[in-house]
This record gives sequence, structure tokens and C-alpha cells, in this order.
Amino acid sequence: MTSRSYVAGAALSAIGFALLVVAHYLGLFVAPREAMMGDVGRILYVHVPTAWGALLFYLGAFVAAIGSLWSGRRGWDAATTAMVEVGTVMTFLLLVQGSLWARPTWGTYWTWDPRLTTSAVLAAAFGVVLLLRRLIDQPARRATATAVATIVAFVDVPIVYFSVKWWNSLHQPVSSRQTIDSPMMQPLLIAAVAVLLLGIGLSVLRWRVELARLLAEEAAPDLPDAPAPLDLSGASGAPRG
Amino acid sequence: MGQGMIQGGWGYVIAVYGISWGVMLGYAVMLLAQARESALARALPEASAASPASSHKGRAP
Repeated sequence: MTSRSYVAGAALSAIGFALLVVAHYLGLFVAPREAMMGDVGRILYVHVPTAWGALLFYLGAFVAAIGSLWSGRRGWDAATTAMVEVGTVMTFLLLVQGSLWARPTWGTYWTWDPRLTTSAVLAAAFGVVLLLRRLIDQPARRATATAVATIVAFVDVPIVYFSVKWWNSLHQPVSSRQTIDSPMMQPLLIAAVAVLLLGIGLSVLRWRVELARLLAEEAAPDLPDAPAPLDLSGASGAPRG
Repeated sequence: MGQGMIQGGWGYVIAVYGISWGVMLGYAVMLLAQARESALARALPEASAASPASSHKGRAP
């Protein structure tokens, strides 16, 4: 682990943020108003790439979790944690963005629609993975628990994606080139690339932090067992009762 | 079915962009600081182990 990962993570994040500035400028000031949503439709240039990013980083975490279980190496364990955390930050943002978009379009901040419900379950499931990691001290057990919990939580990812196809949903169906005009597609694609680069950059930085923590934990000397408590029952000489 | 367009709503748009930028920038700054700290923590013992003499540079004799 050298400073190269720090430079790479910082550089990718900076490029991601720069591209995001371009995408959001186009989305806010250049792209036309959406035919029915009006200016509220501009929220989708943030919301949709965040959703794609969240699902993609959970996919990355799923692959890293398999790598962690397979090899038992710290690097995979740290990568799992990093991508779960980045994906969870994006999922929480996704829920907030979606609620703020839903209020003017659906008339409510929240409804128990299949897409919304499965997305909330996704955030909770991966939140539990991060919580579980904090609760286990033994490194090998922690790595195994993190990987297994990540794989279990990942089951919800395809359910989120296909929820709008499988069930009658208030949420829009999956968008494609056929359903989006090119002036709207441009900021959306630039934002998607930006979120991808930003997410990779942040994952590299988070991986580095986690790996350093794991190495420091391993290098720390084992503390001796705590001494047995002193038996003072007969020391005072004063009989009880 | 009506064919109307939602009017206004810029407040929601600004809130979404503001919250998203705030969270992502805040998270990035936090990670950059933590990654830098972890690099320094690793660099110090490595430097002193590799070159014990150099670790005393600048100190009073």
C-alpha cells in the first residue's frame, strides 16, 4: 500500500466531481424541461446516475465478498467494506432524492411502492452489514461475517432493479435510449460516468483507510490476559452476617 | 387524462442538488483526511526503521 492509491483515489474523485459539474450545468441550464414534470424532471440527472452507481458498487462489493471468502485476504475484505459503504451512501442519497422528487410529482414524499420499498430494504440490509462489522472484534470472523452478510444483502439488488417489471409500480420503468431524447441523454450519461469515477475514487480511498486499519490491528501486540480478580473475601478478617 | 406540465418545483431541484453535493463533498473530504492520516501513520515507523539516523534530523543534539 503506497501513496499511489491515495493519489489515484484523489485524482479519480476530482475528475468525477469535475464531470459532475459539467453534467449538472447541462442538466440544470441547458437540457429542455421535461414534457410533464417540467423543471422537477431535472432532479433525474442526479437521481438516476446515483441509482445506477449504488447498484453497481453493490455488485462490486458482492464480487469482493466472494473474493474475500475464497482467498481470505485482507485486501478483498477491505474492498468489500469500501464498496458497501460507498454504495450505502449512494442509496441513502437515492432515497432522499427520490422523496424530494416524489413530492411535487406524486403528491407525497413516500409511498410503499415496490421500487421504493425494495430500495429502503437495500439501504437497511447494507447498513446492517456495516453495523455487523463494527460489532465483531476477531478479524477472521469479522471478514467472514462481512462477506456472507454482503452476499445475502446483495439478493435484494436484482429485486430492486426488476421491481418495476415484476410488479405494478408507481415508479417509472427502466429508462433506455428509446425513451429519452438526446438533449436529455447527454447530461445523464456524463453524470453516470462522473458518479462511476467518483465512486471508484472514493472506494479506493476507503479501501486504503480500511486496509491501514486492518494492518495496524494485526501489528498491534496481543495484550496479556486480564489478571484474575483478587479474592478479598477472607482478607478483611471481618466475618459477614 | 390531463396533459399538463408541473409548474415550479425549483425548490425541490435546488434541495436535491444541494444535499447531493453536500453529502458527496463531505464524504470525499472525510475520506481524503482519513487516507492521508493512515499514510502518515504508516510512513513514520517505516521511515524510522529504514533510516534511524534520518529520523533524528532537526532534533537538538
